[in-house]
Amino acid sequence: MTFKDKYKEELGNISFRSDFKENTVTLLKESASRKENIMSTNRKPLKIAVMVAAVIMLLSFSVSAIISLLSPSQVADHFGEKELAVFFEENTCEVQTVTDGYYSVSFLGMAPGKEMCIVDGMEINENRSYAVWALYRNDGTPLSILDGSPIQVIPVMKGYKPNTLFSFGMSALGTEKDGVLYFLCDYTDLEVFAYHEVSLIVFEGTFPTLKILTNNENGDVVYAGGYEGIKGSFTLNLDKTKADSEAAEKLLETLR
Amino acid sequence: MYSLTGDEYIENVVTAYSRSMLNVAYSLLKSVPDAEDAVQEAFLRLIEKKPEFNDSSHEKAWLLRVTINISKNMLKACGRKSLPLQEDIPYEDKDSSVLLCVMALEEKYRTIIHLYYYEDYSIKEISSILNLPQATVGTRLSRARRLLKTMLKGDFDL
Repeated sequence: MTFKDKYKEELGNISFRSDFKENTVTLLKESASRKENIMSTNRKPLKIAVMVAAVIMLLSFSVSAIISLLSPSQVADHFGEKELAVFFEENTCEVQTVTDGYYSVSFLGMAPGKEMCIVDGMEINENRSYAVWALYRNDGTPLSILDGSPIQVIPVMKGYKPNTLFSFGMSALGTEKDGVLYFLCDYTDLEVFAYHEVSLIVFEGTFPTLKILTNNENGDVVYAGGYEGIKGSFTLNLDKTKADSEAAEKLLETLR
Repeated sequence: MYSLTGDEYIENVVTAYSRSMLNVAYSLLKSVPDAEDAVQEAFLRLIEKKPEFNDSSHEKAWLLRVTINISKNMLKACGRKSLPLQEDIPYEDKDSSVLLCVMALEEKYRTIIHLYYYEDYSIKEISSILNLPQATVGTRLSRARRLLKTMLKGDFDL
């Protein structure tokens, strides 16, 4: 008998639970059903939001007829982040796009460092989150990485000053392909803040001064009245089971 | 493209791939309960993420890759690099010699041996599943074979 045959035979002798398949099918059906129920119960309150999103998607569609975006996996791969590329390939994320004036900003995906399979020598840090963005002009005019002012993508929280989490963005890699700018940004693990409303917001500039970002009367972080640069904001659907107010407060304390 | 909807799909995919996924998880975790947990988590991610597949081989490769990653994360989460074998393998040397020897290898070698010999993947395919350069896969396969030959005392031709 060959090694292959013997290995297959011996592995085939390992007994798993006799009801494993049945149990797994039940588990998956229940999970799929729960997901469907959540979507259907949320439909009514989201009517207005869906209409707005549809308008944005129409605008995005007309742009995408000109511009074909890279996937977040391709962006990560371009920067040599193989593990991130694999994660994004396995965990597809719906692309969200906001169009404002001449520009569109697309949020391509976010990866929690904790869900990476960390391999010795890789740069991924399990205490960080990684986000991929695209920025492009709606008329298809190519952008260059050297164009205009620096572009920042920072996390913000409702009820807190815009610059509260500014230092949590440690680095951003940027590149350009076919006139579209792509960014791979890493942040301190944002999931501990999941008990707050956390967004990623785009602005032109080096620092989120009051001339660029401010809080409205509801505590939302919004663009200042006189700001005319690139705009885009995305609320993050952070995993609330990973919220950790104690850890979050400790992190915020380091900034005070 | 495959359509990932419905109870029928769930039943088909679990029937088609469970054993392969359980085997690769077991090769890493050396524990039946842990392997079952890892595989169920991989299926849940399939349902949640709904990736698009070109064909069944693409689908299987995706599931194996996710299972491997989950298993590695389980090892890492508990700080486990070398697990004692559960009482799943009969310890009569004659009947379980090959499996015991494979399980004695480091995790990075076990995975490649498993994908190469059990799933009959090529080096190129393994490279894609594990996201490793082909040269690395080839080197690790070669080293693993040498180690196994030593352990098996030449009883099998690898």
